Amino acid sequence: MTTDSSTDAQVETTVRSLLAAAGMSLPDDRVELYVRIYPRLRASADALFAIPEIRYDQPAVIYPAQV
Amino acid sequence: MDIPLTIKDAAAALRANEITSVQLTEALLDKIRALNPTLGAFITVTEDGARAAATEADAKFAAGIDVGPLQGIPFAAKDIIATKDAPTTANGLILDPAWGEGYDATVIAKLREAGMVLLGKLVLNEFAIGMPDPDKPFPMPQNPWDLERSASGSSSGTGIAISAGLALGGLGTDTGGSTRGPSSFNGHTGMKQTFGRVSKFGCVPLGYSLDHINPMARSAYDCALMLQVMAGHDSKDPTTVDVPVPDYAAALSGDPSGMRIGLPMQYFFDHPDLDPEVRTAVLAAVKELEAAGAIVKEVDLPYGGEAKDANQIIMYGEAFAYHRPDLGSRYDVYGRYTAEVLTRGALIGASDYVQAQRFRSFFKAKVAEVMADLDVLITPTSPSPAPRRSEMSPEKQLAGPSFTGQWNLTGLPAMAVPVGFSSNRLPLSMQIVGKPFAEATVFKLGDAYQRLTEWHLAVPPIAAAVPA
Repeated sequence: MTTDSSTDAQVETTVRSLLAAAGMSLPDDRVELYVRIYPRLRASADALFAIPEIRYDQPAVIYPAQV
Repeated sequence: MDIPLTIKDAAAALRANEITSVQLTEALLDKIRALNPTLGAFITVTEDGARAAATEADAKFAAGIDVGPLQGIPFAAKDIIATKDAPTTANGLILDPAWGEGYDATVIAKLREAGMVLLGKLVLNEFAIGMPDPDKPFPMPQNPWDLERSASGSSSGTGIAISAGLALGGLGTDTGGSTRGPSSFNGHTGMKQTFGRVSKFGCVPLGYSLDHINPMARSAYDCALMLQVMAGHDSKDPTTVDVPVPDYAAALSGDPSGMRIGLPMQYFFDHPDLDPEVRTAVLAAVKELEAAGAIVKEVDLPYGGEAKDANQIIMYGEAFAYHRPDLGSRYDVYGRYTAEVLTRGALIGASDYVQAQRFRSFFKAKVAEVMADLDVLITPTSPSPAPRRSEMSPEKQLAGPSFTGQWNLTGLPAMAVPVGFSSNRLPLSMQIVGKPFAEATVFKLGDAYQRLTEWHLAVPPIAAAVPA
């Protein structure tokens, strides 16, 4: 989903779904906070997918098999 | 009795029999009693433990035992780090009171072993994130340079304590700038060393792959003395790296000649929200280093803004994993701003987190490429001097620039160094960024600058007014 094509209602629906899926039941005034910031947060995450140089980079996580 | 401003001076005074550790400790306890109700730096003051440790340090001096320059020096720790003789609250009501009970974090144990005297536990933004909530039963941190202004965070109490002279050294933590921000706003030095250099065992996590426990003090020299003791591999923290720890103080020659400084202009100096006074002061500091023989050039480092965002995405994801059960069941028990920011993690997907970690690999390599023929980068530490608390919000912080999280993302050492004051007498700060495990180089340049200037020794009027 990109924020450019999202209506406010779609954003609110998405945010409510994400919060519910994470077990968060919040009052409306709190949900509103996340509705306000979600487009910015979503855009910053999407922007990282648009950087061509990292198309084949490995993530910076290390999993050592030995205990 | 004049309380020495720095660890270096206090260490010399202790060895010259000009002062005892007990006298120094009592003087600081008096100052804490006088100023803490106004400044809100300490949550817990461990008076009895401090007196006992100071007495022990003096007894060692009397017996001719000297374990190093930190012996008998009072310090304090952010209240998110376990100490065996005081509770750890993380500045909130959520953390299990039994957490951290009865043991010292590795850094605390090491500093005690080096003879330091723990004065108490310091205020922070709850769980090292968000902003102070006046409706919760914890002290409200106030910037000693202007009580209406932010002391920054999350290591606000440590920043205040060092600035106001309530402790000679302190411990902060840093996941996106929480050591360097308070050092910047309160006008002293703070070093976020390389990720893996210092054990995090005994610290409540925020972002597992981004967290650091750091020294904060007036000078680069003092931070070097503390890091010397704190550094090293710890089997209790698998992220620590077994690499040699050099003699940091020995590298402090005071001579910056030949040191190669890069200025990443894009984002870090050209951002429209960068305060002009900050920009001018940082570039003036660079000029001063250049005049002393350093070699300066502008460099091209793209993706500074994306690096800030990637750091936040990773932090939100890691922090939310830790806090989700409590957020789901006790959201209102958290401070409102802490809960607000932590819950952003619910909006981040798994692929967003992994992509941020992929960007992290890329940006780390990009910075290494840019720094190949440099010793350090210099940037502003904060985009502005301390703002009024009434004008701050988590939303504004999300939207604004940040110059610190990039170095948590890359894991590189980065130190905040005072470079002057704004027109309304608020501290300004530059950030010196080094290569992996090259803290000695960062300290060397910071110390060289501090031998040319006295910004790091400035005392806020509210603290200077308290009789020693």
